[in-house]
Amino acid sequence: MLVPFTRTIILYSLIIIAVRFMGKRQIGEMQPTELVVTILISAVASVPMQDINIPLTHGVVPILTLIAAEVIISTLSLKSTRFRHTLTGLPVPIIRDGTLDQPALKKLRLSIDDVFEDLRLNSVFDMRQVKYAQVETNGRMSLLVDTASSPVTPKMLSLTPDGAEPFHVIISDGYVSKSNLRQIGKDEAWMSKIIKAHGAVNASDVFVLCGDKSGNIIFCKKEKP
Amino acid sequence: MWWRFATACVLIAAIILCGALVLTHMRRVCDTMIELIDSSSSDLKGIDDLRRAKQLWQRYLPLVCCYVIHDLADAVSERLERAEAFSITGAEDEYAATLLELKMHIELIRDYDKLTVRSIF
Repeated sequence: MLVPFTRTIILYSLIIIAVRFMGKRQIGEMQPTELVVTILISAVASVPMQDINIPLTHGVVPILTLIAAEVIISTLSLKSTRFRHTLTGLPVPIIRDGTLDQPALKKLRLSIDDVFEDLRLNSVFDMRQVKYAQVETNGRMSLLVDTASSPVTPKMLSLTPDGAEPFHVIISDGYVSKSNLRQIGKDEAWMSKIIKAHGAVNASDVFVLCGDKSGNIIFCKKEKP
Repeated sequence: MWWRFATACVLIAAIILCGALVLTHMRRVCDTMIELIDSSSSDLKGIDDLRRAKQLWQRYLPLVCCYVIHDLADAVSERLERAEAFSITGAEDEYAATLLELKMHIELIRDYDKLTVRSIF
């Protein structure tokens, strides 16, 4: 029992390091090669985890090889456009001025239902509103809605609204984030004043406190059980 | 980005280098063991060579277990023990048969990671 446990911990740690080594891009969006590596790693790691008769190196070596190959290929594809296009393909336009490009759909093996599903996911329910849409190399659809159908923006109305500042979490479940406090340009005295103004004694009484540079806050006191 | 690329290249080189080193070393150990078994298989008096083979095997067992499936390593350990026991009891036929099996298993380990078209495919 201890052997599979130890092996799982080792392989799990190795995969975590490996995925971090591949970079953040891996987690968010997957290119074909990244998808292949992810599937292969999960398959390769499971074998020595389950079968203690197989040496651990038979799992570790393929994982390290896959990661190294992936990093080398992604670096080369970053440097060479031709290599990148060969490896990941090119974005394919599928809608122009509200009209479907049928040969492109056939080439991508996309059904009309898939296209409409993607349009709905992009909050477009009428295809005629789409000026231009293309399927990206990672399989996602990106589109440009016709200006006439676009939501009205302050710029169209010649308005100049105040620039919105992002909120930062200052206190989360009683824990103070000093770095976030510094980011909004406030100090602990300001924080204490806010806490007291909302009827709490100290930070441990606060469930969440968010704030921005303009001094706007979101306060939520911790509920007593 | 370049440090990742360099690390990946170093990693590939290290895998190839370590693999080659282990492979060469394992072959040398297996060849020595086969020689010792051959010299011990003439008669029951060859027990000293068998014991030397056993010592060598025990020394390299951790490396062997990183290299081949554990069943194969266990099979060799078991046959080494059995051969030693037969040599003590004087069962000459069983001793010879066990040594033959032992040799066969060590040959299997020696050729375990042989880079041939057949083994790849």
